[in-house]
Amino acid sequence: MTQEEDDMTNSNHSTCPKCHAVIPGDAPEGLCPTCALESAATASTHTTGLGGTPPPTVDEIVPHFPELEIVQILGVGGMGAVYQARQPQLDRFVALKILSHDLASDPAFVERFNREAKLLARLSHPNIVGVHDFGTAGPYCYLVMEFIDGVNLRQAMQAGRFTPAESLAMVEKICSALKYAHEEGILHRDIKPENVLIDSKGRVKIADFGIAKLVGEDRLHDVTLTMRGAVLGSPHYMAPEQIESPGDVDQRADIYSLGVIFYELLTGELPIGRFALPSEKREMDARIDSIVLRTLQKERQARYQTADEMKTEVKTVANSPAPPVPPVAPATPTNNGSTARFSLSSAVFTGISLPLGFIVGYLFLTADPAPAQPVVSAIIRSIGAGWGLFYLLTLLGTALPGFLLGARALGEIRSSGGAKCGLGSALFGVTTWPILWLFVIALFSQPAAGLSWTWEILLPTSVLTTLVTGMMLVWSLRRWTLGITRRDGTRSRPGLGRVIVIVLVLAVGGPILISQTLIGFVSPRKPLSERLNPFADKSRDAITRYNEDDIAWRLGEAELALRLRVLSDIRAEFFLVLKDGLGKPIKYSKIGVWEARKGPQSREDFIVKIGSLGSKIEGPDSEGGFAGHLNLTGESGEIHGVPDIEKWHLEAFEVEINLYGGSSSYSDGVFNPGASIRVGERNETIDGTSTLTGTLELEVRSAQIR
Amino acid sequence: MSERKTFSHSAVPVFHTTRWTLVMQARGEAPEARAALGDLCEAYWMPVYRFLKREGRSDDESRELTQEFFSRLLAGSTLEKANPGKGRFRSYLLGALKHFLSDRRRAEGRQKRGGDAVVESIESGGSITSPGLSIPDPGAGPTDAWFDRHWALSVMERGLNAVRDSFREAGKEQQFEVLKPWVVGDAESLSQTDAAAELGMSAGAVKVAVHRLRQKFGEAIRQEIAETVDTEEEISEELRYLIEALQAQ
Repeated sequence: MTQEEDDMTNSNHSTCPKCHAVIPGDAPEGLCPTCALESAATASTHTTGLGGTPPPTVDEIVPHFPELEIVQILGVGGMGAVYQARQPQLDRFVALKILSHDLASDPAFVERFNREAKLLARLSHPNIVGVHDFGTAGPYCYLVMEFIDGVNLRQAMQAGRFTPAESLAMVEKICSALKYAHEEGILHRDIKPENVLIDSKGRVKIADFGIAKLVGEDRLHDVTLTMRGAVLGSPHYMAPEQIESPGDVDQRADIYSLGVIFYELLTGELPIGRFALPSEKREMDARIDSIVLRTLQKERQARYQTADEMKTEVKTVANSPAPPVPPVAPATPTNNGSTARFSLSSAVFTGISLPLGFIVGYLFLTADPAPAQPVVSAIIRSIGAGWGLFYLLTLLGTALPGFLLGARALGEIRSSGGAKCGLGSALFGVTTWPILWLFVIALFSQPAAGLSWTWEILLPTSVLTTLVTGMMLVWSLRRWTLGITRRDGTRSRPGLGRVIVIVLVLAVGGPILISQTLIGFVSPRKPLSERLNPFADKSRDAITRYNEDDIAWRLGEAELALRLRVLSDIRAEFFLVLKDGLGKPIKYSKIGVWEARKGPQSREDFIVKIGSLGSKIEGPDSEGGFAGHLNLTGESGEIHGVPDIEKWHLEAFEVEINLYGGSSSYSDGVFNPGASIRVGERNETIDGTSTLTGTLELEVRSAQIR
Repeated sequence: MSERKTFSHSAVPVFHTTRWTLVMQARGEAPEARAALGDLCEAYWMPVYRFLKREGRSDDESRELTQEFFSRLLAGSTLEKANPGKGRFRSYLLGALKHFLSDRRRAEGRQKRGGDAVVESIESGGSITSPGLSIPDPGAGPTDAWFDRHWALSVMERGLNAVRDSFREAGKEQQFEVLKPWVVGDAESLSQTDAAAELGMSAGAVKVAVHRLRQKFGEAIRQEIAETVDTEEEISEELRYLIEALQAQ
């Protein structure tokens, strides 16, 4: 005690690892004084009684055991009191367990005790506390057991938390003890940290095998009532079926209790209610999660069926290094590998589908019937028309259900331990996307792939898709209505989301499939616009065969590609219309007459070629919009294939298109691909000169303003 | 400081007649009570020494004064004046120390002032002729709480030493040195795996050893405290009080 510097100097500002306060410089041994004394305050408090009848004192039992030197009482548990004793002849310490008093006066109990104890004495395993002797002495039933100079697992956990590796090693040893005892036909029935002993060399020994049964059969009921359950250990370690029907337990109850210990070793907490996964509490191999969860299954069928099975998995995880990056799913353990792969593949599929969807959409959009047309024009076309968005949404829509189902399935599989609860979802997630995608391919890929899908292909596709989704619907509905019981005892009805998804898929996909199949059947060469848009106006004229070739109109600054079809005999006189800014016709000048005939002799395929077109664009209207119309004037045209006219000349031709909607004399249309311009089915006389008979439909195929 | 009570390893500590009880019962008269008081004073020499030093004395001066205090205490001159009554050794010692100091100041004052008795307050630091002289930390003299904190530290140190001695007797001093961080409890930043490797023990064996270390420490602390209180019930109370004294800092 020499140079004592001023007491408050903190030479090295080390902090307490426990309370994180700065440790004062004068603290003995550099330990946090507060925490040290706190620790002393808790370490030496002994719980010797549980509120029941006090155990017999050393002096009370000494007369009954002349061959033993009773040293001290070691502890009191639910099953009785344990004393340290010495066998002088053998010069060894033993543990003397005295079962809860007065049982020796019950002959039935003594008989059973002798029977059971004989079995226990037969157990010989390095991880089981051996029974040397047993019998009755005075009022006591007793067991003489191996003396373990150490602590129990509860005390060891308080001394320092177990690393995952230490936990695995501990559980593996308990497993092998359980395996041995179970094979000998003995259940422990009361596996809890207090019954797992660790000696000063670190060896693990399980105590009190079968004692719970010995004492429990008589006392279970009144004991739980009178001693608040403390006597039989915390009910947290007991398997659900052990609490509900103690008479019907098997080795799987011990496995459950071991699972609780395993969880507590890993996390320091008990798995109560909706507990977190061990790997969520602390960094560890995610494979441990699946082992723990499987041992903690409420239904014993879902647990490991034998301690050996559990030991094998524990050993596998303990001996093989954890994957460097924690996997998304509890992968690779043999039993769950395929499950994980399924759910992963679902996610992978959907992951691929997005870029793929873009590629398919792009290919389609850029593939143009007129190859000379630049890509840019196609993109503008599609954007302008809104179809591009439609394709992308459709593709996204097919990918999304699969992705969501995959993700959900993954979660379910992970939280269900070995039970593979999400397997169905995962399978569904995997199959949903390809089916929907096939669907999209069938509908949209024709121009790009050069395929010509017809009803022969669409019909099997739709039947297959409907069949699979229908089965999924039945399965999901069944699962939803039956519900499942979770491990914490709550019942739930999972899968409503799945039912909704399937119904949506069927509701959206079904009409598309049916209509497409029908269209393919009735008119396999339906124009793209109709195949693409299942909701197109069905009130059109009856579908007839028509020529798909297009007519290109050239006009100064604009370019239109039109599709023409003749629905009846046509005779048209064309004339130039001049309008004022409000759209009121001012002047009509007849330009020419055009005729097309429909009938058996009239082969519908004809080509009209337009040489040059004049234009007339009138200025802005009073409301600031682009006024009125384009006047397209065809000067010549040809019709091929009409038998009675070898070559038909079109002298002059006019189609009036109102750029901003509305209608005018003979035509009416919107400047968008897919819109149609109807001319006709009326006779009209303007200035007594102009007539149109029959029906002509011009569909704007594409539009581009240069 | 060589005298140590060896404590039993039994799970239930047995309360026996402690030194302070002995002192109390005999009112300091019986020879064994004197011896017991001597032991106690030796054990708690340090808080007194620090207290005196804290008042602004040099090392040597403090040591001399501490010696003087204890010899007067053991001679019995202050024991009656302090009137310990029912209480703890800690409170008694502090009371006696304050008495001793005020007596001393009165005596010093008499000498300097030619025999006129002038009662000075403790806070004045014992010097009225030269204000501010030799008080390095004016106005911050040691308080009761300060004394109690140092008392707690002494208890802790004695407890640790007792545990170390018992490990040494068992030839496990290295084990004590490696495992002593766990006396305060387990913490994330402490690795028992490393400790196990260093000691060549299994992880399970380290946990057993840590548990025993903590158990022994707890018993040693209670044993220490038991020596300074009058009844068994007071042990936990005193331990609580000492923890609070430490937390107050």
